[in-house]
Amino acid sequence: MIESLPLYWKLVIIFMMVIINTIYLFRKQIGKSDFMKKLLSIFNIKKLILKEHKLFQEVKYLNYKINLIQLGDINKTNVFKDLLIMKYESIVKYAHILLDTKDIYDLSDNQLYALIVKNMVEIVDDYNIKFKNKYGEEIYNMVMLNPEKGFNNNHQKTVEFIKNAIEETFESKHVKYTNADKLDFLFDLYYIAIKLAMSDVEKVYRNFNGELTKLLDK
Amino acid sequence: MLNKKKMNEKYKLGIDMIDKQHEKLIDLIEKLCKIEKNEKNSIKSIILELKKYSEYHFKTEEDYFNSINFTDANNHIHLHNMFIQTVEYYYEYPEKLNKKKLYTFLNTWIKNHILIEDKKYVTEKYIDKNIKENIK
Repeated sequence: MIESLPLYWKLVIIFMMVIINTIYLFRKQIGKSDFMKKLLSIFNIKKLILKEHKLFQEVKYLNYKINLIQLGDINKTNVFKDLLIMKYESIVKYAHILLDTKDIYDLSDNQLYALIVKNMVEIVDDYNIKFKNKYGEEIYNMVMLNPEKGFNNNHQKTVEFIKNAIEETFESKHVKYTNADKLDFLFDLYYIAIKLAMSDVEKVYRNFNGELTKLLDK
Repeated sequence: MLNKKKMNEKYKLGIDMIDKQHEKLIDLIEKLCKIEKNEKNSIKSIILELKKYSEYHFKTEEDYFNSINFTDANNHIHLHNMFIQTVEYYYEYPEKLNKKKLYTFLNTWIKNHILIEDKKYVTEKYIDKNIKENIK
């Protein structure tokens, strides 16, 4: 319930808690109580800001953009719209899982890097499985797996770029990133990947227009 | 970090027109890095300039790919789109842009694009030329 409040109200609540905590500490003359620690962790400010990221906020806008896509007839259009929606849902689902990982902001570089790479692999697996389950082996093999013209081949470059950019946040000697900075940047790249996927599906459609008609009409 | 002085031999492809455009792109990136975070209008105008110039530059590269029948052109064009999409994202949401992200994104771009991807078409052209000369 608290998480659905606007950021302004969350900040007001945190401010009130700080005041209450100060009075409490003053009266008890002891360190911060476990009770207050728990309360503060519920209102983790970094987590709140990241949950306001465009990736999670712009569901309606991205769905609207996906729904504008027209590729041939209604059957083919639906194949590619479904692919984009599945991809977007997988990204949002796994970005939430990443964000909700226990102590995410205190993980070491190695732990966080391993978690991010695992997260990227899980996203790709998730929408691939969903697509295969919905459209069957033949359409999946053509649209997704074709080694030269399939969606995965096209999209591999995007995944590589995200991986390289995230590696840079761990390796850079010029810029110091916190774990929250790294996640914020990762979510920017996830958002951009969805926009890029919209142009990727057009290429896949052009590659397989005729063949896809035959399979869908079967 | 990124500046003209560092546009040394390592970054040069040996194709004059493309090398000059890379220099201009790095100039724009440098300008962007110097802007203070709160100068939203300046950020937007330089990002727009970066977008327009990179589109022009990518067009030059893509025409060049056609002229040499570059075999990996599709993958390379995909990376161009990734750059344009990223620049458009930060143009649309300049509040999401900060110096850390800018540095990281552009550094990744320079490292992976100019140093690795762009060198592929130069290498291919060189190898192709040598093979043809040997056949003669």
